[in-house]
Amino acid sequence: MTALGLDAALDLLMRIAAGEAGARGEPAGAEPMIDAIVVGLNMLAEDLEHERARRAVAEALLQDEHDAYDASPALLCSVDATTLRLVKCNATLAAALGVPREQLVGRVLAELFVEADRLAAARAFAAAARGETAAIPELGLARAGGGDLRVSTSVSWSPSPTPRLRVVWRDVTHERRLEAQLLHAQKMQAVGRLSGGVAHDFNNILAVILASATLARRRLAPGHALIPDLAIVEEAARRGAALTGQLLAFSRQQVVSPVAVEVGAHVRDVDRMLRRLIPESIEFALEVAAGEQVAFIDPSQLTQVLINLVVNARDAVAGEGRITVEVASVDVGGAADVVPALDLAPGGYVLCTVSDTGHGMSKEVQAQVFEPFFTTKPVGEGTGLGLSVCYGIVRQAGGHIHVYSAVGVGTTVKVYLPRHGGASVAAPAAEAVTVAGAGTARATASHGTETVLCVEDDDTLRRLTASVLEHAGYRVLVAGDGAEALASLRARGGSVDLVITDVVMPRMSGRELVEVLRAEGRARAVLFLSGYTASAVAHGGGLGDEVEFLSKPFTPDELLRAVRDAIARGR
Amino acid sequence: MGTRVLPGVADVVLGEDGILRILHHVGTSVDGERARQISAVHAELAAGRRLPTLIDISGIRSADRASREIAAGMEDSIERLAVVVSGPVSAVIGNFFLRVTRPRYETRIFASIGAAERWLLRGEP
Ligand SMILES: Nc1ncnc2c1ncn2[C@@H]1O[C@H](COP(=O)(O)OP(=O)(O)O)[C@@H](O)[C@H]1O
Ligand SMILES: [Mg+2]
Repeated sequence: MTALGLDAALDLLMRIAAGEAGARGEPAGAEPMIDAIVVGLNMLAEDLEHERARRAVAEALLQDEHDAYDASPALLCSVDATTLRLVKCNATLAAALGVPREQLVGRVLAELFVEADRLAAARAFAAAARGETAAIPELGLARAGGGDLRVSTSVSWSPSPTPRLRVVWRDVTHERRLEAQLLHAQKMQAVGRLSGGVAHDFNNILAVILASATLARRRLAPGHALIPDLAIVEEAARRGAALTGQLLAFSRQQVVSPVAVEVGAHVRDVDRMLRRLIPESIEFALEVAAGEQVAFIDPSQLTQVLINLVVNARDAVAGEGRITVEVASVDVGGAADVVPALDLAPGGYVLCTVSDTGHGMSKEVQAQVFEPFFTTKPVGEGTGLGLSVCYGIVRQAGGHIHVYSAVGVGTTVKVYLPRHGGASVAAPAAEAVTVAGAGTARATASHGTETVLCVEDDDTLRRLTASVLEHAGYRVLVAGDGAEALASLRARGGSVDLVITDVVMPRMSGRELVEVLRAEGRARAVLFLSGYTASAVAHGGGLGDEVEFLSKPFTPDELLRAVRDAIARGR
Repeated sequence: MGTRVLPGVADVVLGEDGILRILHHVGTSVDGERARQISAVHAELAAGRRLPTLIDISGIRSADRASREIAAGMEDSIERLAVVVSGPVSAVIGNFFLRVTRPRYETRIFASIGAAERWLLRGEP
């Protein structure tokens, strides 16, 4: 029964009371009149009761609708089609923007967007209000606390009660971030593979240069005019090796020996070395939180990360300022615990932070810092490898690295390493740590008479290795790959004292070769040579503790010493 | 053509003049159930047509909400309805039906059967 119906009923009863019994009825007596009023009131009561029940149901439905509107995960609002001002919105939208609903209602729709998107938004919604159906681009809604919310929009037209646009926004911020992260990860992977490949070939070449230069220098009489020149060649090759070592670290193709490291203790150990990198004008502070902070990482690589970060901080401060290195434990419980961009898996982490009060960097620079060879420093000063190496090392250790920076304020780099359960080993002495790839040679070459099988697919390197060993008195057999080595050893019968083999070779890997040789009892000792090993990556990074390993490029002395060590171990 | 008697409720008659007459018995209280019976018989006699219909409620005691709603919704078999009343009670029920329940076909209230038939047959006011 409508309001109109109710009016009509009341009017009717009044007319009855006033004596107009029926529309065209004859005058009636008092008794039928009272009967009629009673009948009328009964009908009225019945209809009123019905109406009340109907209204209650309708209100409940409306409330349900209202609750569903507020509970919807989508960001909903309705906009007056003429003024483009918000008529209503749901709680989800208010919460997402961090603005109370009362303050949103009445505002011009375009004002909800970030400055940069306002014009586009105003145009798109004005077009929608005219009934045009062009797609609305992805836009950013401004949040009260700063930052934006990327949204995809759908709009529908509703003519009543007044012409309105019903707007549905879906928050795609997280999706976009994941896409960007994926893209970045893919790019880094591609660059890593590329540089890893180049570095591998380059390492072999450097090995030849380094060894040949050393050999040539030895053959010259002391005081020969060419000796300084050869020393320069050696030094240059070593510097090249340091560089390829960095590239390999970045591409995560270095053979690493991760151990449980107490990070706090390790950082204290290298503290003195870090301080030496920094001029007096810069204040340096080390803050290690109480308690155990054990991570599973190659200690020399951890040092390398610290050095690279501190050097960058130093370069950024230039003049007076402060660099702080902190170590602490953090527990990541759920998404809410960390800055959303991190996407750290829940769990325990050792957090190593290097902050500086330097010049900081722009968003554009921040977006590229992990790319190899990206540098803003003048030619000769920056290699652009520092942070990419850190990235490679940290990722290989299963961790995450993040850069926070503001121009003119400073930079903070956070390294999250998964916390390790096992007991830590003593950190190595700081002095022993050198830049990866460039081992320090001690001049204690050892000679021997044992039989050595040298397996190496690079001809020059194989010839050179053989010549160094023969020079030192060894009996040397050579093979270009695992299969050839196996065939020649089987044909020859018996065993050799030492097998020196490259890790990565076509057809049969060094690791496979060694397994077969050991099973057949043909090798008493093994020495692996490698610049990197792809299989080492596949097998978790290490070759195991029990193997001897010499990284390329190496000097003749390093080779001979490693050969002696390996033979001694094999006994 | 035909007559149906619903005992204690009404006679339902389709005359040669094409008017369907529902003649309520005196003292009847019309409820939903009875209205449904009348509606079924009406539809049967109308056989898919919409008929001018006369309903004489002069003698009824009451018509509840359900019966009024059913009657108001018979637009598939009623073309126009003339309600014949006599005395205050039927007049109130008739007017209530007309103005509050609001049938979905043209309806008028008459104090005599003759006037009602004339309107149904010739459409005069
Ligand atoms: N702490 C820092 N403060 C400001 N800018 C930095 C910082 N660390 C790195 N950067 C920027 O990132 C770039 C890349 O760093 P990196 O990979 O270490 O290479 P490089 O130091 O050789 O340039 C630097 O050139 C510099 O622009
Ligand atoms: Mg650097």
